[in-house]
Amino acid sequence: MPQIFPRGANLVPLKIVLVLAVLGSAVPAAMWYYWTPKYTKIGYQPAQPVPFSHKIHAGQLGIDCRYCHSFVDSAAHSNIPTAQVCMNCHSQVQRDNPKLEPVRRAFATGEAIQWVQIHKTPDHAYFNHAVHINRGVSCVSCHGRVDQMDEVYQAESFAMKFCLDCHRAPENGLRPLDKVTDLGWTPPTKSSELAALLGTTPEKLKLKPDATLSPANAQKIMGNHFKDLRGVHPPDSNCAGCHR
Amino acid sequence: MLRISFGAIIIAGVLALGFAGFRGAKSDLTHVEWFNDMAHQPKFQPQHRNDLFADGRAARLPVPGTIPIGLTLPGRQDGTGGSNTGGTFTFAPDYLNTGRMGTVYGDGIPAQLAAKGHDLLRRGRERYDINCAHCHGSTGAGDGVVKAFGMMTVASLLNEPNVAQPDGKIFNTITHGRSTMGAHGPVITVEDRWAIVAYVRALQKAGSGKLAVAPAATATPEKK
Repeated sequence: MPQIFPRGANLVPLKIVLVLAVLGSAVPAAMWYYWTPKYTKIGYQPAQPVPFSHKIHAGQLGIDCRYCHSFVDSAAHSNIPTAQVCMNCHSQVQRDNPKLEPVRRAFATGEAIQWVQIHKTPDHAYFNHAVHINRGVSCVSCHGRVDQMDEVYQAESFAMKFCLDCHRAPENGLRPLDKVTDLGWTPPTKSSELAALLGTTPEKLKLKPDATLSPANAQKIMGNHFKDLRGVHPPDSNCAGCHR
Repeated sequence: MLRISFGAIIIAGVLALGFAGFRGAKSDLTHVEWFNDMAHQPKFQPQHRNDLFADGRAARLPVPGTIPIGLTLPGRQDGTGGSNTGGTFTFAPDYLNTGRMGTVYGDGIPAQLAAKGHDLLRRGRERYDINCAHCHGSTGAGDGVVKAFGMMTVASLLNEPNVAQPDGKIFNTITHGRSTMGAHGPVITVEDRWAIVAYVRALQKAGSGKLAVAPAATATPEKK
């Protein structure tokens, strides 16, 4: 009786295992890389009805975030400004620019400009802007350097882990209240300057008077100071703190 | 066979990378929700869309003839018997809300706010820097940053006519605007408008060129 399988068939089971092993690594690797808000959400940059540049308005002109987002420090929702706010300047500046036509139309007719929302939380997660702003969490913590964006895109994943990282270590995000909308601000790294900012002395912070700190360490020391001062205890394990 | 299998896997990988790109790449596409994790509830959020109404707004303007809770009826006190000062917007025609005493502009910061003293001024400085400084300049000299971009008619707040204005008139100008300045009443609360008035007065004193009126600056670190 002749051989049914050629000699090479002996290796087939091994080859199958090998291919499955490679496939079994490649597919999870692809899922790990792609199936996460770090891929699906970061970089979301929809086209807006008016190509409003935060880089010009907030960066170059230095207009405070709260001039347009006027109720961000008193309401849960950070409001998109009314057409009136745009027209406070654009009744004179760039008054014939065709890109501003939707603004002029909205101002004249009361029709809403249909901006596209970029940063979304699930409907069951209740994020309150005012609470964060008034405790000294800067806009930049979640929105990135909006003052350097011509067109705004999502800079952070907004995954639940992203929230929890900060809720479990709020000292990494707290800063002086008058620097909350100063997106490029970082704490001074000289221990004497840092202490002066906090209204104390390097000795009380257990630092040498002439020490130079790493930016992360300076932030941690400042953040811990403000955490105690402002009584910051964000929900870090109580689901109902955010989910309702 | 082995070579073909690995080749296919590599080609699939390259295709996936070519098609899907890298993390952080800019895209105007929303992601596909395989599982939406109950992220969408049948409710309307602030400033969102509702196609039920002709104007597409979920937020509704007050029906004519009605008053939202928290606002007061022109010419009458609200239900609590007092003028509403809880950081809201109101139409009560008193000095606090209009800057007018009868038919003329009044002078002076309303007593209930003046009692806050330095806190009012600090609030005023913060709100001035947010709402006013880009046109009127951080010292009030009318030299804000937007002047170079075509805002040619910005007034200096340090001019004699503006210094001579009663407080109520400045309040009214912030609320309703004046000539080319837009109305800021809709975005600044009544209390904050008065705080800005108080701070403008401080700027005018500081800008008068008399050193004696400007006390030395002191650092005020945040306290409990």
